[in-house]
Amino acid sequence: MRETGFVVRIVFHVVMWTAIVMTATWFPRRGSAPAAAPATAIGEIAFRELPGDVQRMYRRCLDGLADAEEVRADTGAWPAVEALAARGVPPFAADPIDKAGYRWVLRREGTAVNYAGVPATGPTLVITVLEPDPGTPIDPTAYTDEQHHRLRGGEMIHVAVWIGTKPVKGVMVTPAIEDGWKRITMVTP
Amino acid sequence: MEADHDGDAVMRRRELLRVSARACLVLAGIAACGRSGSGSATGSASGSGSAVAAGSGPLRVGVTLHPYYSWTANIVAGVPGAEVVAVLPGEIDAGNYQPSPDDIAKLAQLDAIVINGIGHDDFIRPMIKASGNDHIVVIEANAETPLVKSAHGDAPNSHTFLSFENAIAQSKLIAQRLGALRPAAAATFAANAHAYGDKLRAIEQAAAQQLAHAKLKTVITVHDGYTYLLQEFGIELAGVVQPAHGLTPSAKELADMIALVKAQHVHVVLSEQDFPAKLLDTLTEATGVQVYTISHVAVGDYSATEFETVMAANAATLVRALVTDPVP
Repeated sequence: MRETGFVVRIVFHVVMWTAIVMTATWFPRRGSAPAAAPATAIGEIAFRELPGDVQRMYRRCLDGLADAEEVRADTGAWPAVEALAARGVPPFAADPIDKAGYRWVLRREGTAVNYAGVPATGPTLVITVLEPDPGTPIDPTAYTDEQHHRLRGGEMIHVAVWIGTKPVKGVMVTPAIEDGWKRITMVTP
Repeated sequence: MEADHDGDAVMRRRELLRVSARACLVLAGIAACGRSGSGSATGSASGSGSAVAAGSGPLRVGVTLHPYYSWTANIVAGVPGAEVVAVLPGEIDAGNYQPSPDDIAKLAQLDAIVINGIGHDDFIRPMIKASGNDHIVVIEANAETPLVKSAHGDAPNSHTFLSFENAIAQSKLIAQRLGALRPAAAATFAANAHAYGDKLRAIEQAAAQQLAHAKLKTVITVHDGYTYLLQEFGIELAGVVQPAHGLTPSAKELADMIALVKAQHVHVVLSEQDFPAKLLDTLTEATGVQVYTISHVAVGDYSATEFETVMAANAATLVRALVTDPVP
């Protein structure tokens, strides 16, 4: 009887611990299944959850930022909106598809740079760039991602695209989350 | 006797403990393997911009998809020793591809390879492993691309290459990655990508000027490959006929699509060359929609100009379908 009880306890433990290990292993994988909520933090909004016209503008912002970064790398200065528009660079150039009527302005203060797009109707978009302090050594091993870009000269910059409805006041580094600003992220659930 | 009996019991207990411990280890191992497999499937070995060892000499860059061939050929143009290698035969759509020994052999000679990495070329990583090429740099074209959802389900739509803006951005990313591999040619790669981007942007803007005056703003497509492109021109996608790449819709799915077309008053279907005509006939007879054929740049001869040529034709088809052909 004692032996039977011992075997039952062993079997119970094997099943229980197996279940725990398998659950811990498989549930995170299921967590990335379609029904899961986007893995966004407070103050972020997932690109894929935005309306199509805002997704379009965000994609154009990234396109324009890449061009602006090239000019910055070549000349040392961030290009004016008018210069980018003249070269047909979105979202700064005339956009016949844009019904919201975005108007873009460049603002700069110290190491912070903003390209702010204010529409006649719809949400405001602000491309923020934060350059390293002058004299910061270049780290060739630093990783790039949606918030960390490397200029052609090797300098790393911090970038983001923000969406909000409040008026843009001055140059923003990190717009106030309490004012409703959210960083658009490409993160996929 | 009692002592012997107790001794046997102890031995049995120890044996049971050993067996159960082994069982737990095996199960934990299986679980851990499954987990690491998941990680490697979604992980990015080089797509996050990690520093790579810079070299010199010839540069052989493989590609998995037709658009990547065109982009990369434009990026490396004029750089001595740089060569673009199409891994798949031109006439085979990546969606229907089965790896062959000849294609795996091509991978062994490559310095880098441009891949989609989000579902369009899942065959490539096992092929790279099989090739034994452990120095190849994998460039994930979508490493910095925002992804929209697929029409059916919630997975990311992997057809990012069917887009002017993605082509421009991804060409720049490829140029940057190749520049890290061959620093001496980095400026040329960047300048080439910039010039190629300007060329694509000109095609896009010319089409946008016309599509801004579209009489129709909503379409359905046969293939779930055009969300990015349609979004660039402000065109609504009401639905996608194929339930998944290459799958023919069932009778119920076709009936649902007919109901959708009628409910949303859609007048245009964008189809593909190889989609069964009978199904399209059913759709057109039931709803009166006009069918136009566009291409997802998946088969044909590889060339530097293929992407811009096919995409210009796609843009022209959109203009015809939505601007010039519709009668007010």
